[in-house]
Amino acid sequence: MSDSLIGTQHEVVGGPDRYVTGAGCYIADLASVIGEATLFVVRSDVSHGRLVNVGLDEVRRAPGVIAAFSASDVRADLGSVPVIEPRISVSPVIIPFLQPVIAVDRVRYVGEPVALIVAVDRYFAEDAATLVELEIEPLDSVVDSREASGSIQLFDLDNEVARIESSFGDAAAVFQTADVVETLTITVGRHSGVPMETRGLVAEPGPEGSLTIYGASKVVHANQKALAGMLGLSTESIRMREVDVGGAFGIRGEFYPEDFLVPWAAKMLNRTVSWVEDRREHLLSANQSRDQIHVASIAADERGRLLAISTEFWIDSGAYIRTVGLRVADLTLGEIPGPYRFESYSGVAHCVVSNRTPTGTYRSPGRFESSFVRERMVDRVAARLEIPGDEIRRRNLIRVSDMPYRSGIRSAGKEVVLDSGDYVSLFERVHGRTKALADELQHVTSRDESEKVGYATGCFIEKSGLGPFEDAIIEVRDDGTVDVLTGASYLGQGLQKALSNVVSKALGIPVDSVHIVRVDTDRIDVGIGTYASRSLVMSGSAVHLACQELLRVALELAAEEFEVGTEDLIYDCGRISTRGAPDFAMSLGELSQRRSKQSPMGEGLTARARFDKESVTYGFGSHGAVVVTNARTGIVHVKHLVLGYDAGALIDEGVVVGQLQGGALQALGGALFERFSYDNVGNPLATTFMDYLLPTASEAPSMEVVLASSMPLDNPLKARGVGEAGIPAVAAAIASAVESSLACGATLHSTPIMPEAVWELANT
Amino acid sequence: MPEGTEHRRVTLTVNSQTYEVDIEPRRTLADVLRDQCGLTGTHLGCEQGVCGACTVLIDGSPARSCLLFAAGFENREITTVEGREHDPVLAKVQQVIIEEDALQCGFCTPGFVVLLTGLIHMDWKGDESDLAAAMSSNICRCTGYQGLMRAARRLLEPTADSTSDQV
Repeated sequence: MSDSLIGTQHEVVGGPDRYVTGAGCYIADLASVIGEATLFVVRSDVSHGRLVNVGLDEVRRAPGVIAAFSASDVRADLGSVPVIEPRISVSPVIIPFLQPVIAVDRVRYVGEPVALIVAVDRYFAEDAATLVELEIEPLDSVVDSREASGSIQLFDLDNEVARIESSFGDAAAVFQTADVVETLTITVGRHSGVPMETRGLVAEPGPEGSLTIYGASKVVHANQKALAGMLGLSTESIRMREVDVGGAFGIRGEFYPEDFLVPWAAKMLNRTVSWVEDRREHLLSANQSRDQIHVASIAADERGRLLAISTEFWIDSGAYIRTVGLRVADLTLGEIPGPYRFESYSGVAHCVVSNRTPTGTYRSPGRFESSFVRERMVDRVAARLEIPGDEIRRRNLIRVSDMPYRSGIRSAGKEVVLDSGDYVSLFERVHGRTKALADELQHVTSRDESEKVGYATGCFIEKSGLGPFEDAIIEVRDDGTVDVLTGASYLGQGLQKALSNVVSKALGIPVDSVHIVRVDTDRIDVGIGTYASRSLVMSGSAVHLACQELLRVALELAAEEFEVGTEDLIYDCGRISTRGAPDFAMSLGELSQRRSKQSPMGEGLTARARFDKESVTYGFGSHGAVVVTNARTGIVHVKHLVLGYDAGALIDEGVVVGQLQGGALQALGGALFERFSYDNVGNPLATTFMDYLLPTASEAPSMEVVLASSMPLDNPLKARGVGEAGIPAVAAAIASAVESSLACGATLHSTPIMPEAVWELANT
Repeated sequence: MPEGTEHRRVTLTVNSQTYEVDIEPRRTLADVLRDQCGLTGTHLGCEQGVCGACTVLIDGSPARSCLLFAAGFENREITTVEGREHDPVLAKVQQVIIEEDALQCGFCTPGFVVLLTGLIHMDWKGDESDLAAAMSSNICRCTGYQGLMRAARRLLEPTADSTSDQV
C-alpha cells in the first residue's frame, strides 16, 4: 500500500508552487485515494455527565459499517484505556487530570470521544452514528474558572490542578509605598489556531504488527514514541510520515485521542483506516487556548518610572490537561514583566479544569496574554499620570547598557537572559512609523464625523530557538543535488525555503538543488520538532553544521582519490578541484557515486550533525496599530499594523515578512473577532465559521514590517525564530489605539474587544 | 457502496473532460470531484459554505462545491483548480499567485485561484474596498492576505478607490 500510495501523483514532491495547481498532498487527499475504511468518532454532546451506556449493536448492523468500538473494546484489547501523557512541563500534580483516549465512565466536555465507527466512507459512518444508544446521566458543569474550587468537581479532586508562582524583588513592599498604583481585572478570551485544514490521519498496518502513520506533524518523533508505548509496540515498528500540512499554529500535531484511536482501529481490523475530522469536530475537539482572567496591579513613581507589576490569574485548561502540561501558565508567568526595568514582580497562576474543550499551546502561548496584560497596565500608568504611553515606554525599556539583563525570572524552566538588541531604537522606529501613518489618515477630509483615528504602540519580548537539540542529515544524490532531513515539520511557514537557503549558501549550490525532505522516522530516527519558533534556529543550525561536516568528508574522499593532501584541494560551488591541476576535479555527485560503489551498504556521500543549546534566543519587538473607531457603532477597523522585530540575521527576508504578517492577522482575530464562547452549562456556541469569526481580506489592515538585526550569539546562523513574533503586542496596541481614537483612559479590559465595549467607551 | 443504496449514473463535465460516476444523490459535488473524479485539488475547509476552499466554477461563475449536490450538475461546465489546460486564465492566475508570494500552507490556495479566475471571467469591476469584499468570499489563515490582495489588484485592476479616503 505504501508504495502504491506514494508512487502516485500524491507523492509529496516539489516546492510550495505546486499548491497553486492543486497538486498538494494533504492528509485528506491520501484518505481519498485509499478510500476503503473511514473512521468516525462519536462524541459526547453533554459537557459533564456519567457515561452509563454506549450501545453499538444496531450500529454494527447498519449499511456500510465495518466495525464499531467503545472504551470497553479498548480495555479488552489492552487491559486498560490509556491516558495521554504530557510531552513537556511534566509534573506529578497533573497525572489525575490526563485525558483517556476514549471516555470510560464520565464525559467532561462536548466533543469528547465516546465511540468509534469504521465504515466504507463518512456518509455511512454518519448515518450509523445516529443509531448509537448513548446514555449519559448529566452532572452540573464547571464553567467559571474563578469559581472552580466550588462543590462541582470534574475528577473528585479540587478543580485547581496547580498554583504556580513566580517573582523577583519585594513587590508587596513596593506596592505599599509607590506614588501610583493601578489595578485592573483583565480577561483574555478563548481562541485558537484554527488552521484551514482540519486534522486527519491514515494508519496502515504492515508486516509483523508494524504500523505506518501518515499525517503526523509538529512533534513526530515524540508521537511515535508515545503511540508505541500505548500500543505496547517497539518504537521502530511504528513509522511516522508527514504529508502536506494545511496550517498548524501550535495546535496541530500534538498527541490527541485520535492519534491513538486511528492506529489502534487499523491494528484491530488489520486494514488501512483513515480519519479526517470535519470543521465542527475541529472546533469542539482540537486544542483551544488563551482563556485567562488576570487581576493585575502596577506601581510607578510620579515621574512615570515603572517599579513593580503583579498579577494573580486563573487559566482555564478545559476538561483535561493535555500534552503541554502547565506550560502556558508557566510561559505567561515568565513573560509578564517583558522588556521593562521593573524592580520587582509577583505572579500567581491558578490552573483550573472546567467543562470546556481542553487547551494547549497556540502560536505565541503566554505572550499574547502577558503582553496584553502588561501593556494595558503600562497604559493605565500613562493615563493616570497624563504622560503619553510612548513616553512611559521610552523611559522604562531595558537599555543596551543594562545587558545582559537578568531580572532573575524563569520561563519554561530556564532563566530569562536578555543579552542583545537595541530596544529603544526599534521602538522609536515602529512608533514613528505608526504615528506617521495615523497622521496621514487624520488628514483625509472625507471621513464621516463619527469615525475617529487613533494609534498606539506596544512592546514585547519574544522567545525562540528552544533546545535541547536537533539533528540534520545531508545526503548527496548521484546528480549532485542533496536531500536534507531534520526533525522539523513543514507547516507552510516557509521553513523549506529558509533551510534551502542555508544549504545553498553553505555548499555553494543552487537552491533548487536542495530537496528538503519531510519527516519520515525511517529516514531520520531522532528529532524534537517544530514549535516555540525553534526550527530555523535549531534545525537551521544543525543543517549548517551538517553541511560543514559534509564538506570535510568530501575533501577527505577527494584527497584519497587524487592522492593529494586536503590542503591542496579547492572547494567551489559543488565541485572539488586540485590546486594547479584543474583536470583533477570531481563534483559532489561524482564523489557520492564513487563512495556508494566502495561502501558495503551502498550509501553515498552523506553527513550528519547535531546542534544543541541550553539558552533561549530572546528578541525584542514592538507592534503599532492605527485604527478607525466608529463612535456610533463601536466598530473598530484596523487600518495599519506596523510590525517591528529584531530577527537577527535574515536567512530569507520574504519568509520573515510572511511570518510576521500572518501571525499579526491571527492576533488581530483574537483581539477583535475570535471567541470560543460557551453557554452557562458548558455547551459550545462557536461550532461553525458563522460563529467563530476569522478575519477576511476586508478586516486585514496594511502591514508594514520594520526589522532590526542585532546578532544573537547562541547559534551559528545568528538568527532568531520569527514564527510567533507577529503576535504578542498586536491586541494590546489595538486596545490602546481604540482608546486614543476616543481620547479616553485605559479601560478596555477584555479580548475580543467587542463593539458594545467600544460603543460604551465612546458614549459614556 | 453498500447493497440497497440508492444511486444513479451521472455524467459530469469537468475541465472539458467527461466523468461517468455512479453516485448516491446525496453526494456533494466536492466529495464527488475528490473521491470519484480523483481531483483532490478542491479542498474542504469547513463544509459550511464559509471558507471557500472548495470553490469551483460552474459555467464560469464561482460556487461552493461543498454545498451543492453533484447529481444536479450534469450538462454544466465545471472548472476546478486542476483545469489549467482547459482554461488559460486559471494558468495566469496561478502564475501571479506564485509571483506575489500569496501562499504559505497552500490549503486555501486552490479556492482563491478559482475565485480569482471566476472574477476575471465575470469581468469583475470595482474599487479597492469592493475587491477586498470580493476576496472575503474565501478565508486564508496563514498569510494575512497581503500577497493575495497584491495578486488580486494585478489581475483585476480595481478603479481608483472613491471610498478609500473614507475610512
